[in-house]
Amino acid sequence: MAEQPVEPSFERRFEQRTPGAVATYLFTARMWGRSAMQYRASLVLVMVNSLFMASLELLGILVVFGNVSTLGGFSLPEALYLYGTAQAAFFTSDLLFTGTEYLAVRIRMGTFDSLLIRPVGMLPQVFADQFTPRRLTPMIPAFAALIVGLAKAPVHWTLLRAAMVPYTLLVGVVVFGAVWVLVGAFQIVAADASEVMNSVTYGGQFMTSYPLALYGRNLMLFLTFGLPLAYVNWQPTLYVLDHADPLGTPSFLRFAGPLFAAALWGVALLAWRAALRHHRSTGS
Amino acid sequence: MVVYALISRQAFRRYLTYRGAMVGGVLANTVFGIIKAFIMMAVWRQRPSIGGYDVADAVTYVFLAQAMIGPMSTLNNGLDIPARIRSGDIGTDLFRPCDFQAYWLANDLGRAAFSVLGRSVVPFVIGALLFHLHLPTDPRVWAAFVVALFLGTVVSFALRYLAAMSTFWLLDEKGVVGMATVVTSFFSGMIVPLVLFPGWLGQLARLLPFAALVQLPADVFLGKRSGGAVGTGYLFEIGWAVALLLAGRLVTRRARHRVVVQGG
Amino acid sequence: MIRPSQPTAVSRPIIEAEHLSKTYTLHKKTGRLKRERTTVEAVRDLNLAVAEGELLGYIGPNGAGKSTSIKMFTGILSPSAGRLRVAGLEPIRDRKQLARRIGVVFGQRTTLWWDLPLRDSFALLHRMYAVPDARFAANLKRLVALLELEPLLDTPVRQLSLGQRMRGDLAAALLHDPAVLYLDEPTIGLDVTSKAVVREFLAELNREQGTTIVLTTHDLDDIERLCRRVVVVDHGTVAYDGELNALRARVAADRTLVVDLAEPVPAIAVPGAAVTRIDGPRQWLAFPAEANAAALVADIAERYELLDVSIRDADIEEVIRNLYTG
Repeated sequence: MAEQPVEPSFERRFEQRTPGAVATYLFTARMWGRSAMQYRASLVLVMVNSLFMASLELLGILVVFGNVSTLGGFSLPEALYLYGTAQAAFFTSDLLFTGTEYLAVRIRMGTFDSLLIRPVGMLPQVFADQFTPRRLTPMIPAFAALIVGLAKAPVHWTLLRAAMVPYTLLVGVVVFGAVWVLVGAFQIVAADASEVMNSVTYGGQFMTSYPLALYGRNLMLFLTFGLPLAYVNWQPTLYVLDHADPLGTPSFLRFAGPLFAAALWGVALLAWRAALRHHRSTGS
Repeated sequence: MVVYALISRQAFRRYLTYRGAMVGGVLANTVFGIIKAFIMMAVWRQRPSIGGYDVADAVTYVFLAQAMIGPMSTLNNGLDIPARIRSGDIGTDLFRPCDFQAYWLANDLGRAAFSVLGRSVVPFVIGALLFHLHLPTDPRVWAAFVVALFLGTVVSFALRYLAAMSTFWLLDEKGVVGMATVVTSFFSGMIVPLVLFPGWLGQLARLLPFAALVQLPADVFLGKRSGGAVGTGYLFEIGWAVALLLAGRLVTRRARHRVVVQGG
Repeated sequence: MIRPSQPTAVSRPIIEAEHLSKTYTLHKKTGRLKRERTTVEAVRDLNLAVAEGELLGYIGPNGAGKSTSIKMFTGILSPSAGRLRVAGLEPIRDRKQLARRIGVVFGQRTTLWWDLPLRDSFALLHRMYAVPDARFAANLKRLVALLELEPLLDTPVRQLSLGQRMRGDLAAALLHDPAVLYLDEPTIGLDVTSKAVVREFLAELNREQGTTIVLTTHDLDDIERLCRRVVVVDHGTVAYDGELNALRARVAADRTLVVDLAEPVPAIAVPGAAVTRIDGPRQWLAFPAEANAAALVADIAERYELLDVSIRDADIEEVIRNLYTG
């Protein structure tokens, strides 16, 4: 007979269910969101600022297209659509997952430990950390570019093409989510070098905002087969806009996004676990 | 004068300690420079000459602009004035024996000097290794560029000083400082070179003080201004610097008055 | 195999640490590029058994391994070697389950939501710990009454005084009925009244609810008023484990009499006390803890003109210092 462990009196004081990851994320994000709302005037100012800042880049694209009619083989509406997919996916992920960016601060101040003593998962708590509605406004120019681009671009609509639009955004958000996990893992291990990671994240965002054809064959090969950022929005956009891949890749690669996303999440979760283990063994 | 030199040196040293931020800044400026260079090359491939710039000029411009993000502090205010106003420390700053505005200018020049060495050189060198850049061969052009860069830094300071001082009246500087950053980024030629701006907008942009931060030093570097044109360029920078610094002095006097009357 | 049918569940310790150690590897910069690796044994061969319902004083000098061991007990740090069970769980492996059975209060750092009313933090914990509604309501009512939190519930935490915030943190750590409560300097920086409220509350919590309390503090008064058992940690291991009085007797820490005289004089010579310090007209005299202070003061007053006197108990640092040097 299996050995029955004796249950001491302290084992259980009442029945408890563990809050799931989504529930944990939602109630934590809600608290931070409400905290941000306590400083309403400041919040509004920052929201207006980030709206302008995000619109500025869009304005830059318009200025460039004042001089040329295509960029990397893309017309203005097509370029706007591509830009919109990258930016909308990025800023959605930024709204949902950027708590990882604050980990360096938590590590330095020692407040990371107060997350470890909670009976809920670490990632949902961290994702929701410092959640603020401030990150909503940069999504406005992003979605505006996406919608205007789609309306003006000569798309030969099919059901599959239409489905590819939300699919592109979803893959983008998931991929950037994995990037935020990597950012978090990096910040736990190297809190004093947290800025280094920013160039990777924001560089990736900037890079996917423009037609990859701009970057020349070598870089395109790298972005398709090395660090396959091409599957975030470039490949699906080629399909929606009915462009051929300048690299001549087979058309099934247009749909390879989820494979890349899954692989990146695998790497990110391993890195996250390694970072937690590192923290547990060093304490700082 | 010695006092201000010491203040600059102290600021320089203070920034030296933020190594992580420095490495991050270098990486980001380099990565963004490379991407922007590709975009500009695609534009110039279609139109080999725009506003007197050829493709090498355009790519060089991109890396110059990336190098100037740090010293010109175009992405943030870079002055501690708002934080010190909120903490109340500004009271002691205002009544120090040295001039308040000169104190912050000295501080900012120290920061800018650090930025040039810590954040500007490496991205530019990497850009020069990866792309074909238009590098001046005449040492006098380099010297003229350094002067234009210095004057541009003073203009940049004068602008940011005005934005930061608004905290005395608004208590929350985020609005003004944020808007100043947006306008500066665009009209300095940081986002896209001013040569790409459509006719009237380009002409307007070249008259505004923001042109002194990136476009004008870049023009000197690329030899688009030489001889007398360098001199008028300097006059343009000096003119704006003086006007904006004087406006800053006026604001400083009002602020001091306000502190005396209302106690902060 | 026949096992004894009556294992005494209650007697099984709620915290069991056997040969617990924690070693850090530090990278020290020794030159421009050179780095030296040094290993630091923050905790070594620490043995501790705490029975359920105990109120334990867990003390020691800074850097002695106190907080490292507490971090292991709470599932924040993983032990390098040894065996550790808290509430029957392995802290790192069972982090989430353990979190439900323990409460943690860091005196210096609040875990409450800074910008929101106290009530909101409590509501979040209600959901986070999935405390049944009726249970939560009862706990909240009891804690609010005991800690006098009623008028503070709708105040944003950032507007609370240190003492009010500590009371809020205590309530927050107890809403889920933890079996063990860890307290790190809960009275630091508090005024006399707040200290009294906190102490009285802890004593009652331990008495009425049977909550095991592990109290880390530099305030000897906290220990004296609350703890029967004291564990002194030093150099990463248990240096003393027993009753407070026995500890006192063992190290025979002196008390200090501070006298303010009318004018500076050479060191006072009285039997049973020795001058340790002179500063103008003020002198410090050490005398055995068990000696009669009143007699000593009377003795001095007979020979010198006294303006003021005060008596200082040996503080915890001193007691511990004496444990090694004495």
